Amino acid sequence: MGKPTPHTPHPTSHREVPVMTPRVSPDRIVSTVCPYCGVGCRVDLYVKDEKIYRVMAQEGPPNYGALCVKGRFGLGFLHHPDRLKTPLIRRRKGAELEPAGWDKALDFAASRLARIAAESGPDALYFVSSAKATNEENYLMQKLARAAVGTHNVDHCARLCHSSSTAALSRSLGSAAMSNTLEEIGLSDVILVAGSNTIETHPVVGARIKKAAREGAFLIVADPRRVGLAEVADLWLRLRPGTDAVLFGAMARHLVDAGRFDRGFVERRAEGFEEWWQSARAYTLEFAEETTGVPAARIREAAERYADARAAASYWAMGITQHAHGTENVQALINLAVVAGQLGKPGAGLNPLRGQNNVQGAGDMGALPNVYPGYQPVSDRHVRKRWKALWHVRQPETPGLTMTEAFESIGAANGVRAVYLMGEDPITSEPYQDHVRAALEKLDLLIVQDILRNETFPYADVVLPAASFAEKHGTFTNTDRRVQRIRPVFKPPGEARPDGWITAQLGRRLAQLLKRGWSEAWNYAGPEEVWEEVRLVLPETFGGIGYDRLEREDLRWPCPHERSPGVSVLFTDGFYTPSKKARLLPAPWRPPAEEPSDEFPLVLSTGRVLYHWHGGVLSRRSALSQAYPELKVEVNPADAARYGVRDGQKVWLTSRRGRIRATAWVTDRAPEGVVFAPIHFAEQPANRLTLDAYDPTSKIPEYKFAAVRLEPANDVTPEAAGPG
Amino acid sequence: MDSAPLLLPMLDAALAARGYLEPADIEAAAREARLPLARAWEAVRFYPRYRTEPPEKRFLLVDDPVVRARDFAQLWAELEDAAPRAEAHADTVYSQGLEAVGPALVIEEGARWRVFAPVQAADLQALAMGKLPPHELEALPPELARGGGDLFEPPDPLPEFSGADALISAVREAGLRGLGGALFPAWRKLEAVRAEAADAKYVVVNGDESEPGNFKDRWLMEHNPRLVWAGAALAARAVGASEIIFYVRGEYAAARARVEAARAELEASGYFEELKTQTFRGGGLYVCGEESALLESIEGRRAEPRLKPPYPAQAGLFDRPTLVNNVETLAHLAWIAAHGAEAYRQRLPKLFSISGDVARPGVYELPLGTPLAGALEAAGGDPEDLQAVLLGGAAGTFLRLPEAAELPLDFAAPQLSGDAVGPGALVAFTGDRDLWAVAEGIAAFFAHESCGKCFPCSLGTPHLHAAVARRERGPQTEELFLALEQGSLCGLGQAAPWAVRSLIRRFEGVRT
Amino acid sequence: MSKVSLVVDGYLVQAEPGETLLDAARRAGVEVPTLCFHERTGTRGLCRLCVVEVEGWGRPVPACATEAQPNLVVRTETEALAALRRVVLELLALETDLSHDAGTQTLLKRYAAHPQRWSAPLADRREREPVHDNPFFVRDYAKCYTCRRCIDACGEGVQGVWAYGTTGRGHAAVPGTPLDLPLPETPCVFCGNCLQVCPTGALVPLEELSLAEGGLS
Repeated sequence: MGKPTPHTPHPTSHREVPVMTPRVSPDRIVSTVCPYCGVGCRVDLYVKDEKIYRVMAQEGPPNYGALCVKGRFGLGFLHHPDRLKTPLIRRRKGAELEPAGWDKALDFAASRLARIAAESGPDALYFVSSAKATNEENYLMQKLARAAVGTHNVDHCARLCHSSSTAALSRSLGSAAMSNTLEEIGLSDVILVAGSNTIETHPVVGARIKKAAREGAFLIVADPRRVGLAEVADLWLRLRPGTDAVLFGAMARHLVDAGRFDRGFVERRAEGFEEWWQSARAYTLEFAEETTGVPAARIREAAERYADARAAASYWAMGITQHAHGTENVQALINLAVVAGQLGKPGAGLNPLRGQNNVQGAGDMGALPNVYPGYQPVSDRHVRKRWKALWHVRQPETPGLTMTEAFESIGAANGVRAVYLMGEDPITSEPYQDHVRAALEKLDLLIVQDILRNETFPYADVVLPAASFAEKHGTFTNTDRRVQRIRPVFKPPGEARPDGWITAQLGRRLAQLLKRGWSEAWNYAGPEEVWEEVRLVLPETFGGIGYDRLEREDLRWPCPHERSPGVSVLFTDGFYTPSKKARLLPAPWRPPAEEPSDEFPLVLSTGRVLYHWHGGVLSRRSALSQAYPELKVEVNPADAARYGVRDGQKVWLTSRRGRIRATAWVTDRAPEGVVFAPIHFAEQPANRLTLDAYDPTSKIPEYKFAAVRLEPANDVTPEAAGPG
Repeated sequence: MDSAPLLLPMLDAALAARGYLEPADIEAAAREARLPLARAWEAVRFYPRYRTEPPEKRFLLVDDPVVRARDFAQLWAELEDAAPRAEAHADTVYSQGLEAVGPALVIEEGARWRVFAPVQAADLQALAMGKLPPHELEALPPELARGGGDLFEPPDPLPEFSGADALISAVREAGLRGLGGALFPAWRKLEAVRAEAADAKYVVVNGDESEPGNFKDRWLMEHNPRLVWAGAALAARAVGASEIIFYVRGEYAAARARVEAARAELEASGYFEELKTQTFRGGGLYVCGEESALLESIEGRRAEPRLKPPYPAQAGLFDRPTLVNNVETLAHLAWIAAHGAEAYRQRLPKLFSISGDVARPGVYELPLGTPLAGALEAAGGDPEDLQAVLLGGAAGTFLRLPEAAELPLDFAAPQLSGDAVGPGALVAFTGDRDLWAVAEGIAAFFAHESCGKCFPCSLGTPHLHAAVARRERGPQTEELFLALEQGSLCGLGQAAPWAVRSLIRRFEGVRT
Repeated sequence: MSKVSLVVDGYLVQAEPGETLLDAARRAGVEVPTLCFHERTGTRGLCRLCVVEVEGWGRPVPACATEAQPNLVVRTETEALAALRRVVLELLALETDLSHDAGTQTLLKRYAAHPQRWSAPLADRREREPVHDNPFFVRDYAKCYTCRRCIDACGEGVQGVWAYGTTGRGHAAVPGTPLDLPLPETPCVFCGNCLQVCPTGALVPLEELSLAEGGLS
């Protein structure tokens, strides 16, 4: 007791113990990966009569026999009546969607795409890939844009979650992934969790961090809300929303000022210290106390604990990134880790917790407008030359638009005219929802490819029914760079097909119509053949990871050759920047884009709850809905009293952009002056309230800070409210 | 002590206020103690006194080996008959350290607990008329300490601390053993705790005497608590502990009050100096006397024995090195500190709780090695009239007389006969007593007291009780004995079959 | 650190420092029966089925909770141990509905157990009603033998939420919820990690139960 115990594999821990409770004897047990968050829990699905009746966690990493409610009980969507089963086309605007065979639907979609490309150039097309789809499918989607069409207009939802992390980590360290691994949680003697409600959004990791804290790790939580981890933290820094950069800036400044930073590490392994230090001087503890509301002594203790630890790890999520200054927030965390020397060793590191099951993979596969697979910059002539050689088609020179920019451009001259959505529902996920609806209406062509009917469905010109994770082969890459295989449990319903198959079909047709490359290049026999191409084009990262090895081994990238076990701790020798050094960069704090006013006196922050997931498309079509049926907005008791709101009462939340109805949950989880609303409820969309202010570097929207007002709704029906 | 307040005292405060616990009491106590609500609830659902509904009035017949051998069935029938007419619920309660003064009755009303002893069948009949039995007993009568022993004398003046080396070597030379029954050399425990480096160490006085047949610790706590506190304080200084917790059996109200009064007095006189001290009300179950279960119970958990190692000397209360010693052991330690190892070795005093069919039941200080017959005679028993002695207590064995008359009562006894002096109970039975009835009571006791942690004990003790009630013997019963003795996690389950097994081995064919 | 050499059932075993006798036995290919032990939850030492004899030690010790030490001579299958395990298994089977516990069924056969020889069940454990208080799974404690894996998984071992605790004593001890509340009113997060480690089928997903019941009709 007392000492943290590492989660290293134990000789007996890998024994697969089958569940011995044969109420039902399974027709088969399929080993695959949970489709919810980025932890990438490995699961065994027990199937009888084409129905999953039990989900069991596998014993090995990353989840070590544990799951959360979503993976365990939230797969009901697979059998939901809203599953799409037939391709549909809308022959002209205003007509009804009508069923069509695959050939007809694909020809229709391809010819319309090709026509718009011919009329307005390839950049009039926009491709939205999916962090829910496999690596192979993401690779194909960006290849579709870059090779078959000839545009870099491709992006995925990480734009809306960790693009700030990607931007800051890439420029400072040369790699945008978690520097360390989830196995190392037990090795850290200090854990700093910032802007992450890990207990609810990455529950398996949250529970592990909680356990590490019970076993002696010092847990520091920086969050305005009293989230689950804050309750068990040794030090909870309840900062004001939007002041993260000040907090971490002041921590780093204090360490340097007090001579408690890792001078050797900074001298040998970092650059840009002087410039950064000039920019950081203003962030005194006093200034930080005034700005963040956290007492200076606590900031000092946090800094010293973090720096003095043998190994201190930081974890963060949307609370840091989803701001109009998200990149600076992440930069401040990076600067802190560099001056404290907490990089390049086990149990330390900078660890963004990724939200979607394959958001890491979608980025790795180049589903981004500015980089090819492997984060190779589009702006680099040599890089473009390389991909031209690989694909045998000329490569466009200018980076594409980000998803947020693309939606802004719709309707404008030279704007985007056609959008191909793969597993994405922008109406729920994009900020300032009414804007998005208006934009979709202006599109000449909208292709919606999904497993379930979603909010964007009514705007579609083509609907392509896709297979779910449980109906196809492929790989997902989890938040700590682990590449894992998924396997089919069932046949897809109706005529639904895997996303990869659909994309390849469009690729073949577009290549033909647009006369770009060989259409035969799109004749993949299956996902493994796509993956073999990925290994070929990115040998340094994935060369050693083949489907056969994944059957037997746990592998993570980088894994350059067949003998490599994959690298767990990044940056032990050098950073992935040209100079091999970490780059300290100024991380100036800027006030939020929209300040509360007399009319809109409260700050709205949005996010997720345990029982639901993102747009709620999956989770609300499962038993999870029964546990958390409706939107509850967290209101601090003082605010509740001030605005005459009772627990369980219906309220209106109004911003400059719109209003939504919700049920009040009066709780001190929310700090005074802040209300929190989950994003999962399409009919009560929190993103109707958020504003379209963006981070200038990453283009991430400001989801965590909007000025709102709270009023009781008049048709009062008090109901019991609670955590679920 | 960990900075959070302890759970059980907070629950007790709420209990005293209302007589039972409301959910809000439990939630508040859990919050204060910084324990998950489920943990507090485990404690509430473990310790019998934490009721969560307004308690009814209860008449509790004290069930111990002496009354079991005599007129338990008749008394119980009277009580069952009388209780409803007095709008009370009849039940039994296991041994209350009253074997020497019984039969005894407890009347429980709300949080109030009154003891009457001795009671006759007629007294129980009178309960129906609302008439209380004539002899209310607050504490054991002081004169129950018979024959005038050294340990019965208050320590005057209080022994001085002569340094850790000197004290521990005196304890070693004196040959002091753990007198709660385990007989572990006392100096080794002292050395082990002393050798540990830790930010805090504790001394815990085990005053949870709950084993049927024993009442010498009760007498010491009620009549000579200063001696025990002195021993605890010396031991604390010797091992470098900063705090003493005196754990008094939950039902021993007078003992607790007197231990606390002695503590307050010694504290006021400055005797404890920097040492922190507190009196702790025990959980009220036999298993609380197991040293690691006792520590769990102080921590507010279910009193369940821990897996060992680690031993309390390394990781005890709140994971800190802890010296746990029985009340009598610490009394001896204080006496050794006051009079020296040599004087102790000349006397080799040991307290015996002698009850049953002897003329003068009570607490006797006798030299170790006294033959069994000698001890019985000292209490006015006639070995010629006696068929058996239950040695040690419920976790003891039946010795057959006159065969065992010369057995020397010392630590070597187990090597001679397989019997252990244990904490030093002798319950004597004349030839007309039903030893199977006694064994049945003991088996019922173990089934009731099993904590529920390990499978052999939680499953085996009720089946042992059933088997003894059916007077079963034979190979299948022997298998059960073995499973309990060899399989159980702690001494409770391990010792559960001893009494009945010795009965079968030694008295088979004598009585059924 | 150097390995620990010991003998298990005649096999020389090289155990890693810190490993238990159970680990050492597994290294020798010897399967010591256990019911309660679980790596992840930390549950150990309750069922006592894994007790083994160590030469020179008095009482048998639980293999799951005893560290391997150099030069021990361990025996995992003796007549005395078999007799002990048989009694525990028989009483367990008598008092618990083990109809969905294939693991224990196998052990009952392995030790030639005859629960009937102990006559009727004493406790009302088999009479416990299933608890159906949430949208995900059912708690059917007639099938529970209180190994406490679920409690450990919920609390200290894995999840750290403490929606469960042990209630009652002796043979009446059984997992319960704080204040006997329905699970949705406790800190339960429905991770199902209790269900994951339940060896008896006492905790069962609703989907599985309805499939099983549908299969019967």
